[in-house]
Amino acid sequence: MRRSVIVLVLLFCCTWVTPGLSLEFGDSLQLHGFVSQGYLQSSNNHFLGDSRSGSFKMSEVAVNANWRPLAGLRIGVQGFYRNLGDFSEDEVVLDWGLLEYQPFDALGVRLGKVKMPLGLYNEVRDVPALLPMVFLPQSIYDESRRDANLGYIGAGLFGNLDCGSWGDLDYHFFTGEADIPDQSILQQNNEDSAIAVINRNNNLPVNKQNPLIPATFESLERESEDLYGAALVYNTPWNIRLGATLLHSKSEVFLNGSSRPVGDTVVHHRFVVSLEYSRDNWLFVSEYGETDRTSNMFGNESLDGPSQSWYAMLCYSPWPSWTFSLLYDEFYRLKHDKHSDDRPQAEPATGWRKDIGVGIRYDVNDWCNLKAEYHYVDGMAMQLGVVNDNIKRYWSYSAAKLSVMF
Amino acid sequence: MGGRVVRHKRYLLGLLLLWLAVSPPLAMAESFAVIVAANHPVAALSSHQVQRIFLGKMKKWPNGEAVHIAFNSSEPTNGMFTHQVLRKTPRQLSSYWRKALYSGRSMLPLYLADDQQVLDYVADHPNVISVVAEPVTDPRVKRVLIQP
Repeated sequence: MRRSVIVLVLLFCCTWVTPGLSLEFGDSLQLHGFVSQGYLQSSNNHFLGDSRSGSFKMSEVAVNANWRPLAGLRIGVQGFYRNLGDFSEDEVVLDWGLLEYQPFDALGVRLGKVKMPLGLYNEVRDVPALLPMVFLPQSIYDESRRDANLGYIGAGLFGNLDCGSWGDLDYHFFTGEADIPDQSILQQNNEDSAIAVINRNNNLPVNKQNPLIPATFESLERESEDLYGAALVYNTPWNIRLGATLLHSKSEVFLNGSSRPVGDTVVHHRFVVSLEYSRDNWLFVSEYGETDRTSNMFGNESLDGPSQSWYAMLCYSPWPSWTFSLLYDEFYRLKHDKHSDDRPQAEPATGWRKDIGVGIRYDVNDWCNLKAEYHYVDGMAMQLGVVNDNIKRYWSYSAAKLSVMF
Repeated sequence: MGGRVVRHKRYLLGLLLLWLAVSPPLAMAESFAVIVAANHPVAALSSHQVQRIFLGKMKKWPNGEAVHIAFNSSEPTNGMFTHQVLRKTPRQLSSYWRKALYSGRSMLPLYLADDQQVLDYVADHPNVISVVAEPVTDPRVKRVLIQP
């Protein structure tokens, strides 16, 4: 609660005391940032934290600096503080930090920690003021597993290809590794799962215990490797953007400081195709994605096959400051087993998540806005055990957020 | 009968979507000018090039020098320019640039408050391009001819 009050004070300062504040030193050095504070409430299930009785643990603060010492050369860095539920608290992390050199419009290179292009919005998923709704569609932009696809540490080639009267094409090829912070909800969930497996194994008769599973839990490390991918966005001259992203990744799990992995998750391929149409007061977005992955832990395969995700979102601004949004969002844990027929022991609804949401956004000015929304969900998929231990099929959540950019 | 009505509705909806996709934005009277410093070598640009420059996609002048853009915040000049040339509302344009900033893809372009600030800035900076209201009478700057 104290942190939320601090963020609210920051919001007040940015909104009323120094509206539109930014620091620009000539044309070559800039300091900017954003602050947001939200409120989250859910019924039947918790969402991303203890949300059933309402939570103000929903804050973001970021400050970035960009310096262009020479034409075509840029050094940039953004520090990011985030508090959502009981995770990522008390930590300022490097959101991105890069060296960019772009000698030609059609070719540039970025080195360092770079936001990962995935769909149309992954690179700005943490900037609430720029999003039409408080939450991006969860089927593609899953908040609970966000850290796996937030950015890459490595190198990327990018550029913009002019196609004349047919528009232009943005491309971004990258390779490196993902950075999963220790305080993430995903990391906490991995640790809880490992402890549960160890406890179950310890309770078995000695002759039935899995010898690969250690007797105690001390620590868990997840190391990313073999991450590479490509993103294309075709900007047509008809206010339509078409996007396609494809990536591959692998992460290994190490227990108790061992150098030998006890499990891994291989994303053989993840792809997202996107369509965005904007015209005057209207915005329509739809994206479709599949993630074909295999998970192994202690020699047992826990997941094998592609998931399926898609959503459609329509936003309408009848007045310049007001935007109304409607969202339908669908996720299937396994594309070829949508109703969990191959897992008779599992509750069928663990195989899907169908979310219908409505939202409203009020732009106080160009750098400050207020949003509120309500979602009704059918399905138990995408829930992490660390948040809910008794998951209900039908549930809902609502959120409100005040955001300021400077 | 009901099936035919549904089919007709689908055709009408399809035609409406097609019209929305291909029709140009509402025509507005042009009363702004794209300007550079008077001694700048560029005299004319295509509207496509102007669009690419102000969206940060064309970062160099034909002579290889870096392009610096400065937006003019004063209305109605800003609104007319962004609607007619960039096909965005001023708020959509602001959001476009802020997405590039906060995702680490770019710095923000300069925003100046009014025509006088723009004229002074462009006159003092040889590689800056900006927009002011017509007519352009300041001899320190020149109007760039925009070709279709």
